[in-house]
Amino acid sequence: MDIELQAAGNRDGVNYRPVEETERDWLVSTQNAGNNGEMMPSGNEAVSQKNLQNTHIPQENSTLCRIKRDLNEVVFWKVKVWMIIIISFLVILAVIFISVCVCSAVHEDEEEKFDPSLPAVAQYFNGSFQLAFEQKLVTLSSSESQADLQKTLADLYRSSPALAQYFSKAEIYGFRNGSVDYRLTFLIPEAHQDQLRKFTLSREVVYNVFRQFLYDQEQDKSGQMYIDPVSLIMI
Amino acid sequence: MTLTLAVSCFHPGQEESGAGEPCDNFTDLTLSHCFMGTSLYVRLLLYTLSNLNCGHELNHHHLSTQPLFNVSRPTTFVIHGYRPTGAPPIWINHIVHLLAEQEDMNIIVVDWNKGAANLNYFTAVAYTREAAHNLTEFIMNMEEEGASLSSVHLIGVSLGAHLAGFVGANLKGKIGRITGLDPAGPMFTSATPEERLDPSDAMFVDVLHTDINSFGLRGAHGHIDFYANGGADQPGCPKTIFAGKSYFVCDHQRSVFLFLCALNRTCSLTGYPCSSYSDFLDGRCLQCEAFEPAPCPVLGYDVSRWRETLLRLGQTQVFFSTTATLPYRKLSYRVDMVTWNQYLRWCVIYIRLHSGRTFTEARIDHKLFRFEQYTSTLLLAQFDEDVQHIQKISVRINTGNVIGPRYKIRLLQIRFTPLEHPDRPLMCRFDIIMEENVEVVFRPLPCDSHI
Repeated sequence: MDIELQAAGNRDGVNYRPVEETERDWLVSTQNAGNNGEMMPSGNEAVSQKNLQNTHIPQENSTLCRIKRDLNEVVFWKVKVWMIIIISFLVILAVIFISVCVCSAVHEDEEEKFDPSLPAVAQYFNGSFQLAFEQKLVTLSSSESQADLQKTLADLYRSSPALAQYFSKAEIYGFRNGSVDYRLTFLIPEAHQDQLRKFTLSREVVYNVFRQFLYDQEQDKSGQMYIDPVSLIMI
Repeated sequence: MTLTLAVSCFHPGQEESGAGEPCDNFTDLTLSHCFMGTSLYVRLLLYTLSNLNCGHELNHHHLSTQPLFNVSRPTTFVIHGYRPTGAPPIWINHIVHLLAEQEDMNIIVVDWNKGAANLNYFTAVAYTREAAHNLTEFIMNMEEEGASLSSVHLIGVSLGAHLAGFVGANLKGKIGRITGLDPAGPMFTSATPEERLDPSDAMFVDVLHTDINSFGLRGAHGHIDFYANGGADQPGCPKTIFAGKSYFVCDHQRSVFLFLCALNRTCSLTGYPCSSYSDFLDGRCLQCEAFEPAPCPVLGYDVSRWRETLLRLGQTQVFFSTTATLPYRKLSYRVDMVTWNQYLRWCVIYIRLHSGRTFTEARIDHKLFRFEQYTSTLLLAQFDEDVQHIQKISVRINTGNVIGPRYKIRLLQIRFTPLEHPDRPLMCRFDIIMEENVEVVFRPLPCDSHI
């Protein structure tokens, strides 16, 4: 406070004694204040009375008045100092707020990036399943329904968050004894081959992604392409 | 009072025990007695299947004068604790009835209300030794009459637990079993094993702790020590003194209610051996291999399945959580998750089990859980209600960051293992993405797979 006080005094060009001195000699400082000949708002007086060190009253009154005067100084056009202070605060807050918003909006999840150009090796999963309605098998041999089933399988793995990026294709290659044979092809990047084979592209996960898809469609058993989840086999 | 006495005496079920014989009820004292102070007087009230509602006071020296007392049957003593108001414990009748349901036995309520009812707690503590001597003599008389010490079971509540311990020590630990329900803490915190209940007091000592931070006693005092909700603050008990009397007694009394509930078989409370309650909550203590082929110990009357193992193990501390009200039991699941997230994430988890329109929620938020790529994250989910036939499960995560992006946790697999119901199926789900503060709903599928 004292430093501020001094600085303000210097800027005004009013002759002020150094603070240390005024603290020692209250009479002189009273005079100084009186010399300014300014009107003291009664409110300020009340504030200053709270101060236990009565010697400071006149000085502080004058300081408050001067700060007020400084704040009301016109910088340019009708813009005053206090407006500039408030506006700059608001601008800072807005910048912070906007940058936070922008950051979270444009945040790119590193984990969603996938580079398909990496050298990869193929991994196959073969197996079979049975369609619930045997009579459908007669018509199934047609290439049309084969394509349908192939598409179902491909869609299911393409919509899997964990497996989609590695999925290559699904083939239906045989109908025998009422069961349908399939082959799934995944491309595993060479770099993380071992871990991926052990976890993400483990038979357990690939099999169960298929299995839970079958369980989910169980509600409408009347569907044409209903596959019995229990019949699903994967090797 | 005389009216109720008369009514209970002429109860139709009392005919065998000799109609017309007056019932001996628990000594009912008032606050003024406590204020004046009471000196020790031990009464032994006998209850058997044929006089469940009408106690008969036993003569300490001439046991044969009471025809209902059959020393060839097992005998259970119920010993109450400090009675600051002098009123009879509200659970006395309840425990007598429930014990009678366990097997055909003599139930003896040790009524030392005169002695326990003192405003000065220290007086009551001093009387425990005297009362223990009194009871020891009675049990020795029983032995002389042909009773076997190994078929004697002492159930002591609070100060009564130490009283039972003293009796056991007097009889050189030959008593069959002592059950301590929240053994009293004040004046016993720095007691040596001889000065309190300890495992050497009986062939088998089981203890339940519910209030170790005030009226109960910290530490392990039996062959098995059950800690309900960590043994300190019980759910549903008032947190502030404005609740009045229950603020003081609720946690302590919960031990009796939990034991009654266990006797009633309405709540099966399984305790998991662990070094601390927080480790238990973190799911680090869900193994019960030590007790195989039995499951982990269950609180209650029947301990035969675990007795030998527990005696071999020395002292075992087991933990469990309860709800605030009857039936106290919580439904626990072990939840295992494996993520394929490249980066390490920490978060809390909320799980809901849905069945039709009802659901029950477990908030596993006492700490942040670590999710590391291809590493199994294990947690213990405890639900207040038992939802059977779970149709849907929903999971929500929260990493705790207020600003910034919403993180995702990508799971390869989530598996729910019901802990107390080995007959129920394990539930699994594969390949799901959980986004911060967004509820993911899925249908669980049975985990068993024949690949």
